[in-house]
Amino acid sequence: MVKLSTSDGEEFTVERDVAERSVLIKQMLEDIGESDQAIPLPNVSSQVLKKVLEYCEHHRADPTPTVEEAEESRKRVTDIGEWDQKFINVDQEMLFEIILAANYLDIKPLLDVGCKTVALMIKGKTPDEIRKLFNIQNDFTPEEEEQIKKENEWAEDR
Amino acid sequence: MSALLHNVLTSRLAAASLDQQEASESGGKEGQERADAEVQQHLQQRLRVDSLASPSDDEDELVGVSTAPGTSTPTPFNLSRPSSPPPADQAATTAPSPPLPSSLSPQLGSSGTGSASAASSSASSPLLLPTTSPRKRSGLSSAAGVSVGTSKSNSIPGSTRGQKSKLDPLRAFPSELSQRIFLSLPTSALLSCSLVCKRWRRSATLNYCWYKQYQSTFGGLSDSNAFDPSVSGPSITSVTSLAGPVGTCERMAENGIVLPPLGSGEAKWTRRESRTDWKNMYGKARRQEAKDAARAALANSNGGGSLPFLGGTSASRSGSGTSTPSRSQRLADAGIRTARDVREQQWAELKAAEAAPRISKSEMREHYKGLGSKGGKVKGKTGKGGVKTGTAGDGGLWD
Repeated sequence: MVKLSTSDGEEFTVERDVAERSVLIKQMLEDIGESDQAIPLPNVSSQVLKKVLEYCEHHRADPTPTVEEAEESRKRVTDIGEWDQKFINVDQEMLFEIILAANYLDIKPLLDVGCKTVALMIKGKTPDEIRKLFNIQNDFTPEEEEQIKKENEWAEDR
Repeated sequence: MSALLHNVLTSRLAAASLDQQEASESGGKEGQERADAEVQQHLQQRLRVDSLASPSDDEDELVGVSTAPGTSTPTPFNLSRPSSPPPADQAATTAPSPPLPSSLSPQLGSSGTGSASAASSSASSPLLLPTTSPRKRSGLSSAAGVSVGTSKSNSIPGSTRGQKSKLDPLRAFPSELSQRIFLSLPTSALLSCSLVCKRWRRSATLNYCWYKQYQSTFGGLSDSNAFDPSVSGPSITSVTSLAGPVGTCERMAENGIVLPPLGSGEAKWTRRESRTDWKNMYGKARRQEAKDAARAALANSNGGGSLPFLGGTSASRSGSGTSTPSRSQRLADAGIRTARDVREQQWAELKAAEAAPRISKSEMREHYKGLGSKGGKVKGKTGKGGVKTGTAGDGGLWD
């Protein structure tokens, strides 16, 4: 069993193979060996870690993909497993937090799922919809907007 | 805004120098020197603030290129993300407390030593920073400007990750993550992204995505090397007009950030690439492609070896149906090729510029020979004299 402590001081005890889905934790464990001390994860809140561990738990038996396989899966944008889709169906803030945590903890498959999800959110949306999605102000003047639309015209000719 | 800044500065400078004058009545020449030093310090301070404002404005852009693009081994983000603005403001942020401008002049007047100038220079930073930063950075609350001490440099990234920007993926994520997200998007989505806001339009991350799109679509093409980045002209003439949208990258390049090579192969993401607007490059190449296709179709329909776009002769084309479109095509081609044209023109100009002194060089050599042993070979002090004689002789040379 491995103990993990979050940024807000909560402690999680998980099985080693679950925790080792995270390359960061795996390497830490290799470095320090088994220990009673909790591994501090100052960049992850308990709320997010709970969610991340849920993912690790579900994917604990997954074989580690080879580099090529990982590259392959990264390219296929729409390719998200059914369970993963349900898992990642969270509010946007949580989604971003999960991505950041997956990056920090170095859990590549989870990072992929997160990034693909964000890409899918953007895909097929108009600029205005993207703005609404990410709460971004349109700071273009009408002229500037016109200019960029002109630049982009090549796409519409086709 | 900068005018306001200037006003504040000059008024404070005036106040400071007034006090200095009072002091210098007793201190004499020494006081005057100090006043000069004061002015200099103020100017330096201002420069420092200016230079500080730009990189912190585009923190993400900075990250966008300073980390290896397309990196396949993501590092923990807390390591790769710069957590504090450039160290240039370290000295500035260690100011004790922000004294009001009004309290500054008595302070200066009372303490007649060099410490007065030091106090004023450090005091100006908390005053100046809030006036410059919020203009550029909407997320930066005024509180960040008011807070003092070393904690401020840490609070800036924190405040940008505030409620508002947390939802913007280009702000919320370090560049390798946003690259991961945006690289998987098709060009149609990237086009929409370019219309979202200014920040997205000039984002180095998105520019890099366009670059990748360009490379994967047109990278192998050799016939239209007007857009082939592997054909390098002297610097980036075609990009100068884009200084606006990708100016951030330029600023970055000026700051001396070395861009790492792209591991994938022949195409490298270099400083030059980072300054290029790859969305427009892609668009141009796409248009060119469409033209080429239309041209090929036209050539085919005309049959055989008649290539209307090459021949200026109208003999190969008969009838109004074909001649009008091909003319417009040629015009369009001319428009499309501007990047190369501009470059070639520049090369020609450069050559001409080089050629001119080359002639005069040999002439100069003759001239120096004529002067005898004194003027020529010895460099250094006598070289100075040589230049003089050269300029004197110029009148004859350039006639």
